[in-house]
Amino acid sequence: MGHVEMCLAVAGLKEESVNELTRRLSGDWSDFSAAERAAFAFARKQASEPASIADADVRALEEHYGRDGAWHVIWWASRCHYMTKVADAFQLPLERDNPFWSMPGVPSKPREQKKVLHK
Amino acid sequence: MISLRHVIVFLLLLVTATRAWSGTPAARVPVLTDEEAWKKMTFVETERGRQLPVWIRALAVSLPKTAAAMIDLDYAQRMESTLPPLLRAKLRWVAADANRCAYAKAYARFDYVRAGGKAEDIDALPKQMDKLPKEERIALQLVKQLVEAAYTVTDEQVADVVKIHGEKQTVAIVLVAAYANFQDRLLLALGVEVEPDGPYLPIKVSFPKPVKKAPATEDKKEKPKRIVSPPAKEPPPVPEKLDDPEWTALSFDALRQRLDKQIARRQARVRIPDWEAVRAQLPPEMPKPDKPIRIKWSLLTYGYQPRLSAAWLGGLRAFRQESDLDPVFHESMFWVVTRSLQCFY
Repeated sequence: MGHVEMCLAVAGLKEESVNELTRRLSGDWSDFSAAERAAFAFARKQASEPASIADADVRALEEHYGRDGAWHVIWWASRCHYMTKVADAFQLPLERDNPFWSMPGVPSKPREQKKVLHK
Repeated sequence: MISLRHVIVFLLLLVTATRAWSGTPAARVPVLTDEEAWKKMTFVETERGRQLPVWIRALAVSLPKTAAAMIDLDYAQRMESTLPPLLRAKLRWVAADANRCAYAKAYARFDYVRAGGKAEDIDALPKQMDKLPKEERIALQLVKQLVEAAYTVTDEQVADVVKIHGEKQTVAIVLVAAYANFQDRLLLALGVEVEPDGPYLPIKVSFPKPVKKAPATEDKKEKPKRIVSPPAKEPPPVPEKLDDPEWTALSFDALRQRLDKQIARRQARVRIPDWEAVRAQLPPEMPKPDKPIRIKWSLLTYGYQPRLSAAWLGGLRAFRQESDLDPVFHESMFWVVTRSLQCFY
């Protein structure tokens, strides 16, 4: 979760926007679009019970994102589980400074974001 | 007189016959033939023309580079793991069993037999768990628990595995669970069944060496527009609000407190190698980073299992090149997953 917030900062959100977004995500999702709610509901269901994903769940994504977009949502949602298993198994301490700014291809950190995300 | 029942039976027989004719097993998504899929993956340099697993042919429809990288990842996991092949196959089988993924179970069973094991032994694994030698049992239990409730794994449990298997092999064990949890979710979402003449052997692929570009060019380069299938004009309604008491039971402030605890944690359950040690053993095919990697997750996985990690990151890079999902949107989805699993790193 901490890394997601750091990646949101690298994606261009300021600290207050990251906090606002994650606060909304932790709520009932009523202020997200229908397409976003469909993807989040898929991700949540797939996280809890992967074998329960049915034709209707995939069709719903296709209706909102098109066939290609649905694929991308499914691949990405599945990919998250690789990352979390390693993090959970080894209980890695969360970095204090955002290490994603030094990743290849990431633009330079804007001045206003040069402070620690979490204190 | 022909009844509706007769018509339905006839149609079902027709669908079954068509699938058998085309050699394409059932899936809830379109699947390319081997020939079509290889045509989309022109950049793959070796072992072209082999029979491809159905999930790769399904992925190649929209994400051919990612599909090719997944062939490499599958090969790395099944052929190049540092774990003994019989143990690796058992670990993969246990993960697939916990995820209720029949396709992955069939492949793990195939790999087990290929490594010299007996099919009936792996089928009996759940009943035999208590009778297995400790070194095997604790590894299998760790993987099962990582699948079912990873946040319940304890420091002592991992310490036990490290004591017997060492840090390098413990990371390999966890990476079996990690790959399984990614692959099984993909397989289950695609709804694929084992190929009529499958399971298949893993395929060794290679790719042209990446050409190093100046960072400025890379930043400014625009992705080519993909031809995408459009969403429906009137998509079905989605519930206006999430009706999930478990989700809303944990307040935003409570989540922040858990995050703070993760920051306060003093050390990981295994030693994290430093950048110099990691850089010295990066696989030659991996593009060399300009700046030191400081992400503990990456230092750990690259440090102990460079080949498996490079194969995984290769898939991620390919997906980022091909996908035009908005970063804020896909990270939001990731946030939903981490919240669902209570993963605060």
